[in-house]
Amino acid sequence: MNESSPAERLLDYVDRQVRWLFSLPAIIVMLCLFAYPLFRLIWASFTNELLSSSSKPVFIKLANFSRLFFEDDHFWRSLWITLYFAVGSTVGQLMLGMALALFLNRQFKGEATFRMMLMFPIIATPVAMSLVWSMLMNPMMGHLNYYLSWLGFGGSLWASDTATVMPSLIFVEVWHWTPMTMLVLLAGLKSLPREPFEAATVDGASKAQVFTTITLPLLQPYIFLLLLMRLVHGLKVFDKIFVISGGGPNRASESLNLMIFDQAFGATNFGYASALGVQLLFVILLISIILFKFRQRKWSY
Amino acid sequence: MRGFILKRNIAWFVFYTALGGIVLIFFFPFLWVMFTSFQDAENAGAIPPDFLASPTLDNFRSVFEEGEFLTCLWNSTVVVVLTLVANLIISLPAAYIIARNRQGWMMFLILFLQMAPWITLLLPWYIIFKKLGLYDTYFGLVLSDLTFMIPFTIWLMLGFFEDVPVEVEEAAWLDGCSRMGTFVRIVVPLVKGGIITITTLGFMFCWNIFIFPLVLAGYDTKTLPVFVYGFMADNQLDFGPLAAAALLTMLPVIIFVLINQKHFRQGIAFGGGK
Repeated sequence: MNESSPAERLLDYVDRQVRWLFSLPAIIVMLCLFAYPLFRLIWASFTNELLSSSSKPVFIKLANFSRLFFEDDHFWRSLWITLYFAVGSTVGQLMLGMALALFLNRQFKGEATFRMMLMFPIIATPVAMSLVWSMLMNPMMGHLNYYLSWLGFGGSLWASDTATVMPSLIFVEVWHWTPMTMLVLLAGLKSLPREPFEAATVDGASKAQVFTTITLPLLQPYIFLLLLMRLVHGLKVFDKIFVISGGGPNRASESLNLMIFDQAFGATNFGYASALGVQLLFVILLISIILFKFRQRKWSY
Repeated sequence: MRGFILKRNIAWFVFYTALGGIVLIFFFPFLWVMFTSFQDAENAGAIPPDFLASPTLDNFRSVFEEGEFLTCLWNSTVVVVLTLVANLIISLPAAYIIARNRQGWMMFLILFLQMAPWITLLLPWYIIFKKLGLYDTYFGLVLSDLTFMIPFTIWLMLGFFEDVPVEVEEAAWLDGCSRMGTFVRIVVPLVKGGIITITTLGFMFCWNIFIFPLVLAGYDTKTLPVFVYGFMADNQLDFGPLAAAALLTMLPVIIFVLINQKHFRQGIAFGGGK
């Protein structure tokens, strides 16, 4: 042991410290990319920092926050738009995903092909698909209105009208992610034990009864995970809205994500954009905490 | 008996009709973009549509002639490959250590890291990256992608590492294998399935990400999603070239994921996406 070469001693040292050395790179990267930037964001939210000028930012205490709460009309509106989009698309994805999963929870010919085709919306680049949808939804040249008239429905202005822009965006989001919620719920359904279902059938329970009293409670962990993931994801969506409506028309779909982007990189109000960012973070945190509390109280076994 | 068979056949008929409807709704935009990308200026987007009229390759030509397209394709590929390699080197050891010393608060932290909205990270990054000269570099884009890749990889790999019995490692140590050596030669090959899963999902996430390169990539490192967005602004209502650009952008990621379909489905069913 005494005559070990430096290389061997190094290896020896690595072995003894393996716990730290193995996790160190991840910790360093996450500290640099998460912890410090978050601190920097919160700090900037108390200043009047601008992106355009190199003048030293001045500490202005809570001025950004009072501006956003009391002076900026669009803040509350965009908060509402953000929540509307997230809740609307989450509910849509979960209900549709559940319906499809129940419908497909059987063996049939062509199952593999079907599953493969349903994966396409998840895989395809969202910006490219948003572009495709915006072409389809074009009120003048888009084919969506044409097909709808075929089925006997009237046309819509889709993303070009303040009244229909949000439902249109939610529709694209639901189209994008329902296959995923379906795959997760289907995996859940297939993993359930058979006994309770057989017992219920013997007892003469109706299909609706089986669903509400057995299937839903047993699937609860899956549903909770999806609810949390989809809701948080919905609050973060940027590219779909940015490409399809750009926040318009007349700012009717300008969610917090777009408002922050616009304030920071359009108006170069970096300090103010940071204050908005802090609010968005806060909203996401609050919603996650409420969901976790709700689960502990209401849904514990 | 005959009535029963008939009834069952009708049930299957209804089932497959409904199935066809579902497939049509989810798959129809892809059919549309494929057909439209081959149509000339006169027929692309015409109402009523005639998808088989006068097929042409002009749209693809005009995308390639943009010149930027191939550069952006190259940039996307470089960023994705570098990110995936760096991610494995950084995340695998960390996931292994966490799996062997599991603690509740770590899981919570990882979950929290996946919740932060990208735009709030981008604001400070933009300033920091500019200051450090990371703006418009591959390195900067790789770093930005690593922020979501590392927590996600650790999250997904935990289960795989936990399935590796400690006895296997102990046997290797007894044989005089170092801990490093055990990890590289024994543990990592045992979690190969997880590595393929994470590479497949990671390819998709990194290829598709838009907001990071939109802000952090300048002229030199522009990736394909940013190119498509710019192309869209340049060709407002020219459906043919737009469809071709959209198709070319998503084709690589679709092919890559379909090759690893099985692992992709497992990863999605497990992690519920990003």
